[in-house]
Amino acid sequence: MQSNEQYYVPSGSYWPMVGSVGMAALLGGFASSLHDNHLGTGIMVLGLGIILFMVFGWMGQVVQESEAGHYNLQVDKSFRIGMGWFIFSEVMFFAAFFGALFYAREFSVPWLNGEGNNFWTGELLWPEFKAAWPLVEMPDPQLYPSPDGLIHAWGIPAINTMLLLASGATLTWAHWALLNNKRDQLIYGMIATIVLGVIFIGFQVAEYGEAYGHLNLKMTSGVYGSTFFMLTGFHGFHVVLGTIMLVVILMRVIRGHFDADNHFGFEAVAWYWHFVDVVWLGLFIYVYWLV
Amino acid sequence: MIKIVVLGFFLFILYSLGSALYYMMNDGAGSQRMMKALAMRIGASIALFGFMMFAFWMGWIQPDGRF
Repeated sequence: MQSNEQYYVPSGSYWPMVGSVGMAALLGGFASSLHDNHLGTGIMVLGLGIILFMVFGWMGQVVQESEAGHYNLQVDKSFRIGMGWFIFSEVMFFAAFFGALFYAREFSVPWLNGEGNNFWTGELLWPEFKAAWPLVEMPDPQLYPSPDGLIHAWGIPAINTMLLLASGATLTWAHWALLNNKRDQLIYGMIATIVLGVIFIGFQVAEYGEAYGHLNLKMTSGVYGSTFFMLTGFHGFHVVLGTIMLVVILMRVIRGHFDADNHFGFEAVAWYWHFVDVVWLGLFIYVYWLV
Repeated sequence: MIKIVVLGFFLFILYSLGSALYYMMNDGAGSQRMMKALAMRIGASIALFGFMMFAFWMGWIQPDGRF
């Protein structure tokens, strides 16, 4: 009987159904657009709109239920476990892209040059090719045009590193304020973190403009270009997502949500932001610097 | 040598971040240990960036991979 009282059973909800319809429309529309179906893109955009509607509505309902005091410790634990699995998937996601970069740099490109037991690979395929990273001189320039230049570590990447590190510090300042019930400091810290995140995104857009507009460094610039844009692009997408999450948390803080003993939403978003910051540090070292 | 120092810093940063995750998962609401682990994480990250700038200024490393 005791266990029944502790077990939280949510009331019926139509949000999973709305989400399923949105996912079906998004993926079905995307598949149709690949087959040049003129309705495909429209259905895809509609699906995305339905998913955003679902996220906004469902999350809003969860916030309302939380503020109404419907959640007990068991629900709190379930949120933490859910966050743990989400983080696990994120770590695997970035590990795959870092792994692809590592494999290309350390193995496949040197093999094309005949390293290891691949002497005849280099000799027969592209005898003139000299392996180097960044891979600027392609084995076959006809297939993959070479970029005219690279993004140097001591330009925008270093500035962006400082911005994200500063944002980690302001967020920690806000976190400390929350634990000590200093709401004004919490709000200022959150605002500073969001502003730094937005400036980071602006610089990243400028960097991509420079790469595409002036350096001829593109997704199609061989394995260097594709790994560079996959890693930095998905990281930038995560910063955008993290910034949106921080804005939502800031709104909740301004409305008076959270206190020193009840703020899992803040903790989850703060950890996510620190994670995105560490991924950037890894990118700065391994993509921009250690090239 | 510089690579080893950078790697050491980075492993410590990952350890701090991982500890914060562990505390978030297990301590429940308002974990002081989580906040301290994240503070350590940001401190170590700033120190690593500072070290890299110093190493560059000293001419120990160049941003083209010549460690």
